Amino acid sequence: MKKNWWKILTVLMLTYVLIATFSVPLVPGGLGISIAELHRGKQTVEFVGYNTHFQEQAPNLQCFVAVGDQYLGVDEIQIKDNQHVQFEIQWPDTLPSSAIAFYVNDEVDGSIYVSTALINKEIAIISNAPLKGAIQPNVKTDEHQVWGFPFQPILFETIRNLMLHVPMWFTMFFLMGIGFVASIKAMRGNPTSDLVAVASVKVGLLFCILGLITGSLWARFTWLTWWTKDPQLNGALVVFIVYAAYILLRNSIDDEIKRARISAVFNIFAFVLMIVLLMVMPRIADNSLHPGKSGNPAFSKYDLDSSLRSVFYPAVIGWIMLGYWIYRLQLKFEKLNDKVNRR
Amino acid sequence: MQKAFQLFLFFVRTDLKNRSALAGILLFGLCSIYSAYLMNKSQVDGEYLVTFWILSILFAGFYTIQRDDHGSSKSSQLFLYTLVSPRLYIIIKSLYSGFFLALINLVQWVLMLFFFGQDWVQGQSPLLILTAVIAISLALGITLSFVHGISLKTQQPGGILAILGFATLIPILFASVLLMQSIVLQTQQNADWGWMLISMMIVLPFALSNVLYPYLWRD
Repeated sequence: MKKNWWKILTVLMLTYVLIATFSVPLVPGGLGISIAELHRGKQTVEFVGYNTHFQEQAPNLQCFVAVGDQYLGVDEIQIKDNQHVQFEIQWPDTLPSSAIAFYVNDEVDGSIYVSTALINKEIAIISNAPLKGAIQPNVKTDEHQVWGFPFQPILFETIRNLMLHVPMWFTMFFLMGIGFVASIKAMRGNPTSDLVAVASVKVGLLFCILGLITGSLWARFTWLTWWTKDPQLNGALVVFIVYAAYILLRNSIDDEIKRARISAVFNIFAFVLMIVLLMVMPRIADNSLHPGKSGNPAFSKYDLDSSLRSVFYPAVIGWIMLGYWIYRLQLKFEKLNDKVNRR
Repeated sequence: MQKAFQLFLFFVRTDLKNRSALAGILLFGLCSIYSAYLMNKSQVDGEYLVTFWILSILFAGFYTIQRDDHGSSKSSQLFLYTLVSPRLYIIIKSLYSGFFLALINLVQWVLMLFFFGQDWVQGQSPLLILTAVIAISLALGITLSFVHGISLKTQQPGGILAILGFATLIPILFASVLLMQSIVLQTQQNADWGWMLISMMIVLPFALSNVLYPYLWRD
């Protein structure tokens, strides 16, 4: 029991991570509005919320429209259900800006909004002019009172994949790192380190495959394609091919000492190539779609709030520990296999 | 330095003696470009031709490396040991392969200009193209020399060279396509990125092969 405390901890952590990943709701957010075009005069708009509480918060519900940095009130608010609210807007003859956002506020959901580009052929835009009929919204709070993962346009529910996709790569780096150190030892004449290297690379490859699958799934929902010309995505596939070549190379040499030394040389080369392909190239490329690369906002900057951190960090630690656990089992298997082959 | 020069001359002499190899190179270049001409004679598209050229230099790279058998047997290893240290050997071998490849690739480029005319490279600096061809050839030559050194130690050198080569050459091919297309199509943003990548693919394998290659020779 004392010896296996970390295995119990791994199971507990990953159980927590998986339950939290799939059960914590998203915080309230605005999904969309019913209009695509602005019309002069009165216009009816239906606002669609996500995980919102419009009906429950009916007495406190406020709707308004932001035009640039000024606000316009609305009339005849009709709450249809918790996710749908309809209101009417009387557009003035001129607007100070074409940046228009529709807001709904209540005490539970805070201020949620939909900001979308609207076709405007009828209302003149006069920059920074005072808005006719402007109001100053009197809201109690802008912050939502619901605990959950951030509501991010484009990502929506797929934000949960952060707890699966990213830790796979952390785990792969960790395991390939073990393989790298073992290969340096093997190259310097320690043939048993070769078994450590091959066990870690094999398990690392498993996590690489899982990372590619979860990444491809995420890309399908957010970038609308299973695969694209993204440096990190393609770099990851090349890393997979390079390490698969390492396994093939190792299997092609019969002499034990020679195999340890030569495959160690290639493994070191593969590790450095992995660092370049996954950590250097995507950062200097200017066409990456990944968060944090090519000027794209990173999770840590905008979205990794306390709710995500409370699951993401245990996920990283938990998956790495699981990877280490599988690696130890694989190492036992490699050692047994080695013993059998020697007989 | 003198030893390094001697080894370089040894490689040159071996290649010059082997006339079938030189004829093979010329025939290879002619065949690959002629097949491009047959496939694409109706239209002269820079993007297509650059991609085809990259594919043909990939085959040229493997041909260049496969053609020589220096260090493949114990006796030839012993002979090379008497000339230089393993580290110096891989430096000279990498550079020789790189420049040899540059020669083949330039011949292929000239053949492409002969078959397809010069309209698709109009306005581009010949010096820039020459530098890019040499840089790409060096990256290919250095990486393939290292991978070839590894594959020679296995039971199936040809197969292993193909597998390891395919895996390690993908970044170089990607960088080459990016660089040559950016030169031909004159897109500055991709050119910077291409130069950076190809430089990295020269420096990195060169440095790694310097550090790691001596360990391969410890038989």
